Amino acid sequence: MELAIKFFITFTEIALLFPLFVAYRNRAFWPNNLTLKLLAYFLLVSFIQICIVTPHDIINYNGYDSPNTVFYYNWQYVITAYLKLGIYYTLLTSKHKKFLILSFAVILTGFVVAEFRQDSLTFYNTGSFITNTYLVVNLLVITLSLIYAYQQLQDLSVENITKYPFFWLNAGFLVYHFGSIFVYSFVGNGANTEDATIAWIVNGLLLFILYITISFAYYYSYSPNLTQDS
Amino acid sequence: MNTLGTILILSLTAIVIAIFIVLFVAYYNKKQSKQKMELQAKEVELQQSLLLNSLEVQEAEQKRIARDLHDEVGALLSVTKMSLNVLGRKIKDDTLSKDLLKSKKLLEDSIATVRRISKELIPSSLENFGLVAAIEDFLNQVKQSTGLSVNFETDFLEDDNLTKNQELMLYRIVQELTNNAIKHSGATQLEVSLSHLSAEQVKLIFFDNGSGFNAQEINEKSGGGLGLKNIESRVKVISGKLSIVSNAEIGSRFNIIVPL
Repeated sequence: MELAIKFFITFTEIALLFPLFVAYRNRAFWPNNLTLKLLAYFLLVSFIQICIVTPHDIINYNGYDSPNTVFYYNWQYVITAYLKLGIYYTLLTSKHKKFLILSFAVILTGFVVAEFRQDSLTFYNTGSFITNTYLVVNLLVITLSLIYAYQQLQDLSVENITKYPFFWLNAGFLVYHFGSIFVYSFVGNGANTEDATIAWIVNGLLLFILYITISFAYYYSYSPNLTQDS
Repeated sequence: MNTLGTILILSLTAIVIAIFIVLFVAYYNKKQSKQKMELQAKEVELQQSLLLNSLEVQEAEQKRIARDLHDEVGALLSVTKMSLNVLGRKIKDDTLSKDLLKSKKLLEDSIATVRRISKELIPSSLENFGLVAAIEDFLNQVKQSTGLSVNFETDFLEDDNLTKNQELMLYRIVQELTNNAIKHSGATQLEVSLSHLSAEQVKLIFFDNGSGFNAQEINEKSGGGLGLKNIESRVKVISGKLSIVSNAEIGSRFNIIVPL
């Protein structure tokens, strides 16, 4: 992979600082709202991950050997998947939501446990992604995202939807996970270097979009619209 | 899969999601504005029904007062008149007879006034003969009692397609406007016209050549403009439209359009 592309991918990960900055400015990083609190945990986990991964990447770009960082990506994906389930648990109002989210958590846990048989979650220098778990997480989050969009259409309780923080959060998750299905299907199916490079660029763009939408969510987090689901 | 294929699939994915989000926002806004309109229509309906209820209560109260006046006060006055007649036959003194005659005249005036008020409160001609006859009857009484020049024109036949409620409201509006013109404007001429504007609309025009008024000023006065507000409420109840032109030079002209 060319150095410029590598730097681009690193930059998209560091774009995580945008929502952190907006949250800090809005004093919304540890708000009373549980959804935003879970979102803050999501950002914190991602922040810890990039703090570990980025120095390794920079060492690697300079031609030195450094441990593989896939291990950290895998764990970040698993932990944030549970946080996303938690976020949708707070957002969905259906009486069946408990059953739905618990089922999803059980399915996810099943896949995570299955991954333990391989070394992708246990060996820190592993080079293999937990592709099956990635796929399941993507499908679960897309399903929840569409259910939440349907719920918003039924409730119509938000005056201005484009100024509603959780609309942006939901849109961000939908875009990221819909795109990720294709990205990780390329990576997992042993794509050639050129295809894999494109997949990683796209993944970087998806991450960038996700962080921008989360920034919007924080930006509008003090809007009066926020109270609609409570 | 080649690189071009990869790019194509990823681009298509991005386009699909973008279209989904845009459509979601558009559909959401459309659905929300539809909901708002439905809510507003329901509010208007509720307001109209509340207004109608209060006017019905007012009508019922007027009927009760009219009945009491006619059956109790009217009856008492008639008995008093009869007793005065009996007394008159017994009095031989001329001076006393003259005084008694004066009292009888005053009593007859009182009986006539009670009957008039009672009739105004219950428009029996409206129930028996319809809107046109009731307005004609009412305006004739006004003409006789005040000496005003009153003109009423209509193109209505017997079957005018107006509901009982619409007829009652229009009759009350004419009554209220006439009373206002007599009491406040110093008018010498009244013109009332009731006609079909189209197959779906009826137009009531009321004109008086009085001193005119400023509707805004009247509404701003505390407790003032009750008559005007009453007219507006009645027009609203029958989903009509009211427009007023009024000034000192030409007098006042009220146009009321009511859907059939």
